[in-house]
Amino acid sequence: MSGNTINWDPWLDDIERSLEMMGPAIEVLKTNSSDMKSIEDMKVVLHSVKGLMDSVGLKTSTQTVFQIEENVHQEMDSLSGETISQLEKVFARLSDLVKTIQKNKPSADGILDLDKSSGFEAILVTFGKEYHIEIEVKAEKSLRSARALSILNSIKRFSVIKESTPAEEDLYLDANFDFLILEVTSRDHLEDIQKRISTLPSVGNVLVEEVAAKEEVTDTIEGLDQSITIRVPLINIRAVENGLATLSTHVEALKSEVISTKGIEELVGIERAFERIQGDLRKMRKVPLDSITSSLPVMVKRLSKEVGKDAELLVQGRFVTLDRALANYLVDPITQIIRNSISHGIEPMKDRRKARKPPVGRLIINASLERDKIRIKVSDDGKGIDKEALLAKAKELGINKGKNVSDQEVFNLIFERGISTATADGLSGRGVGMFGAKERLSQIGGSITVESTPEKGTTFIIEFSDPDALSKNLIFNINKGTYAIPSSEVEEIIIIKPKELVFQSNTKAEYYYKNKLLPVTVMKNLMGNDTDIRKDKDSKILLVCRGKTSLIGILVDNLLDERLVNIRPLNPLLQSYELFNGTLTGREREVILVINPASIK
Amino acid sequence: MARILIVDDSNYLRATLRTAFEKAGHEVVAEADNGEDAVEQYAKHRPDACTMDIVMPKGNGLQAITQIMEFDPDARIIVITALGHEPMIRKALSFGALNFVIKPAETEEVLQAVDGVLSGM
Repeated sequence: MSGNTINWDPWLDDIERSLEMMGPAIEVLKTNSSDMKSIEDMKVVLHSVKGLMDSVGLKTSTQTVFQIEENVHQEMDSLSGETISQLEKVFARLSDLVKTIQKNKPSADGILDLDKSSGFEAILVTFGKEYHIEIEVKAEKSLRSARALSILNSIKRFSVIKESTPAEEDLYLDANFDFLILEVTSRDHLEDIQKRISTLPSVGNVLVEEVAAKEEVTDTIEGLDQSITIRVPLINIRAVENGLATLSTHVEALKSEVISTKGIEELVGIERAFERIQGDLRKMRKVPLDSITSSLPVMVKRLSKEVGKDAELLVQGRFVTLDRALANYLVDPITQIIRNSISHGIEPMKDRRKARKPPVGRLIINASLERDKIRIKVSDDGKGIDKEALLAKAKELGINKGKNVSDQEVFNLIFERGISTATADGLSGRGVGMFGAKERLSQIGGSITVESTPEKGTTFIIEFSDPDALSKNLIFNINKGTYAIPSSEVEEIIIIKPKELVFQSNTKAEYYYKNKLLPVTVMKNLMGNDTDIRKDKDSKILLVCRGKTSLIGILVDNLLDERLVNIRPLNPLLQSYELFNGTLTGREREVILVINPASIK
Repeated sequence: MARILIVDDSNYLRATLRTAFEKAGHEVVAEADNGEDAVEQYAKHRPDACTMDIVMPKGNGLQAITQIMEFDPDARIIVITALGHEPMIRKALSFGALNFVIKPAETEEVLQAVDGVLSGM
């Protein structure tokens, strides 16, 4: 199409008409972001501008307008400040573009340059999110820089690389490094980026995390505010959170009293503000995993050297945030696992060479959020758990396992008291052993399990629930009181007649469930009543729950509701009641106690 | 199936690669044995992927890569070159080649590299 001329005049007419509509609409939106007419005008304008740009081959510009059109459609009846400022930028670039074209009337050949210089690409990039990426580059030293460049080139195809360590220029000259650390902007989702990079050649472990948008520091006072940290006791933050919860209860109650539309709008505004403050507070008492792992890589190096080995630690998922109080409970167990891995798992260098493993042992801490659970895996690429040694040690301590003991049962011995405390190198003997780690984690309702493969390595998996996660809870009556139980703990809900139960006492009975006798607790009587329900003709609800070791049944009067809510920890005054482990807020904003089925004996 | 351009000054290697690509179900749209021809064939056929030797007569691979990238920034070029040419590989990558394979290369490795650049996009 070289030399082709474009008939610019009608094109310019159309664009100018669009601009005439766009300018005023933006001005209105700046003062009222939900002005329906302006939003509708904007949709029409963007649609026609997009078509006009496409018709002359302004590729990037078309894409930019398309993206912003999508955003406007998604935000529907109220545009975000960000979108409005993007619209302003598009408007400014578009006006410039018109001026350039009026002056030069470029031929089709000049379109590509025009597209590049139009400034639309810069707007396009800002739609993306910022990501921090760490890539382990697996290649011989002489080729590692080349591999890294190859990886960089592939990443460039779907993102804009803002910073690279080592720098690209250094890679051209050959750099010494193990990890490629990047700051990029991309419009892709985190999972897609992770997947794409993982499939590139010579890529080992990959960490991709989203960088939280940073507020621009506009003046010095704000800058100062950002740099100053004050220490606040956690209990103060919790007190404010509780206060807010009470306030929002009152607001919720007000909603049914207020009749005027304006009044309700105001209440909704207040509610939104509450939610924002609650979110901010939550952030305050949360810390990134980094805060407890940042010192560990150095510790791993030092400890492994102490016992004549070499090992390194990689931390993945550092963006996972934990409640500050919970984080404290994780330090000891994670440290214990690491000591254990260095002492028992990782082999001395010469053994690793023999086994054709990289000479330097590798420990990985991997944290992830899975629905309402936080999972932290600590794995090593060592020789796996020595079953014989573990069995022998158990025997010394008087724990005898039968002959047909499964591998997993043997591995689980590692959590027995006294098993993993003392070793020849004295390294893992310094702590309280894996038993101590397990005890510590149980204090926050967490669990720890182990998986191990001979010659491949061992993985410890720590799991605990995220106290800020919402969970489903069944709400029911017992003796006219209202209680709840996490739905995740309930296996099945059965409606029964009391006569189907075999009673041992007024509180204890048995029910024939899936070919087994299920121990049933009559909650009514456990909670102070002493009625003989055998004669009760009304149907009752039997909740089949996960008890401490096996399924148990709890008999309640009737089911009321299932609610998706955030369970709050129990008031300290109530903590001596083992039966309950938290509270939640019901539909009428009443406080409901949450029963912990594991506590029912 | 992808459309591939093979650039290499060795008749033997081109033949080996052609057989391997065709066996894997790809179409070899053209071959070139020097840099200048490589650019010409690329412009003519616009292949999905291109394997590129570096040390060749008449406009080496590096020049060919820069010229190809200039008119097709989305080009998927895989460098195939001998060990000992590391600085050149890095140069090639700095010009926009996506991946590289070291000679003598197993055909399997080249196929993987091609699949890689085709799927990674």
